[in-house]
Amino acid sequence: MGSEGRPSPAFPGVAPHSGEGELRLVVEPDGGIARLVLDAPPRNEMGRDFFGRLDALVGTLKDLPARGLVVHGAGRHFSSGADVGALKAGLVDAQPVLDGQALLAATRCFQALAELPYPTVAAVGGCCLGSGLELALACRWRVAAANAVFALPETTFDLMPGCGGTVRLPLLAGRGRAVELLLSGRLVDAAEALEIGLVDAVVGRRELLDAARRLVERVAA
Amino acid sequence: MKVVFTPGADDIGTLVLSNPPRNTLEEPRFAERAQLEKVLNHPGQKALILQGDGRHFSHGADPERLRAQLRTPAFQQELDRGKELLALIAEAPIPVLALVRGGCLGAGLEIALCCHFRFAASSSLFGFPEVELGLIPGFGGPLFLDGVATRRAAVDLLLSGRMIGAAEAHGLGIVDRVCPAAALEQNAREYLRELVGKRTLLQVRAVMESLNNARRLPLAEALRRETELFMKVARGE
Repeated sequence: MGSEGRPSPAFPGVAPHSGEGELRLVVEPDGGIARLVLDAPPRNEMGRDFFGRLDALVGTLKDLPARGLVVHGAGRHFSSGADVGALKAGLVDAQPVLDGQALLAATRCFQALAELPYPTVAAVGGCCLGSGLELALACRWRVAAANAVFALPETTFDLMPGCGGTVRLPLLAGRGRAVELLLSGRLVDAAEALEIGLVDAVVGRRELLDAARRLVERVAA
Repeated sequence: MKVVFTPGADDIGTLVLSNPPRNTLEEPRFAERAQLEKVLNHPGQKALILQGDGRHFSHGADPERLRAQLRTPAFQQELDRGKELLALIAEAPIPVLALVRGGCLGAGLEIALCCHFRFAASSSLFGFPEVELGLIPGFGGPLFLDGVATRRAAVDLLLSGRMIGAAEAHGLGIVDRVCPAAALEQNAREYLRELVGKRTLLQVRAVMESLNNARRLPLAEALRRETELFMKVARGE
């Protein structure tokens, strides 16, 4: 069993779930498969604290003696990404919440995740949008529940993806498909995501976490 | 061959490869580099349709002419210059859609493959006949096929030299959409309008630039540039 919700003595840097932490690391004893849980239900939106929390966890993740890492959302959804309203307001404030430096730091966090020395699998159920999808793209593999939907809708909000989406999407889905998905911002369901290479497997909703764990076991073997 | 550009009223321009009836390429350098650059960067333009003049897209090089050219010492250099034009299209600052009617063969197919999208008439034909001449496709075909079709399909097409119809090309991922010839252009325009119509030119160019960076820059650098581009778009610079 995991040490969910409690501080792990082996990892003093990992704070217990505060109730509004937005991001929670659940480690298993004996180098099992750890879980990074996006925890701001219902949509697990990436609020202002999310990236700070991820940044704080990156060092711990790097040294984690884990067999692998499964990244998933609490409840039905993976993540609806950043709050676009707050993001845009932040960009035009005199003292912006998000400036180029903050965004770069966020991108570096995702890159650190991409470079972890053990297998990483995003287990995606429900919505996986914007920076939520960019997080999933930074994982080595993606397993989707049949109800998953994906999109990088940033261009429909007069923006563009800023955390690796435009760089990682074409590597998986090809150039033409990436142009189409980025400029249209349209939703892709699980079946299409599998067809275009965005995800590696589609499973039933109830089997999602087990399937992600099995994938870690298989590639870590 | 000459290339004829018509700016579009809807920010979607048209570039026609013109050497009827089959729009064969006399030289690997099928257009002037400066002219092509100007067309791709036409002010306000958000997408471009590339098509052949008349019934065909392009049948590629003229075999007789090609045989003679192959004996000239400068031909390799000419081929490289021609490929520079393909790279310009492949890394265009806006999406480029190849509108394919009739034959799309050899170097013609290679030109279509370097575009971001391919819409084809149901009666169109695709293939790499170069192997029949004892050659191989020399205009980036093997490279551009990678990432569009599966490796198995690529090997099949490149080595067999067989011609395939639009439906099979669609099945292999070479063609994005097949429609009746009469509805082809309208379909393509509507698709592009849907794609870029509501986006600002700044957004289109920033997204395209970042995608191009993903191809040619080391990952860390491409990621850093994406952030820069994001901030430019967010500030509307």
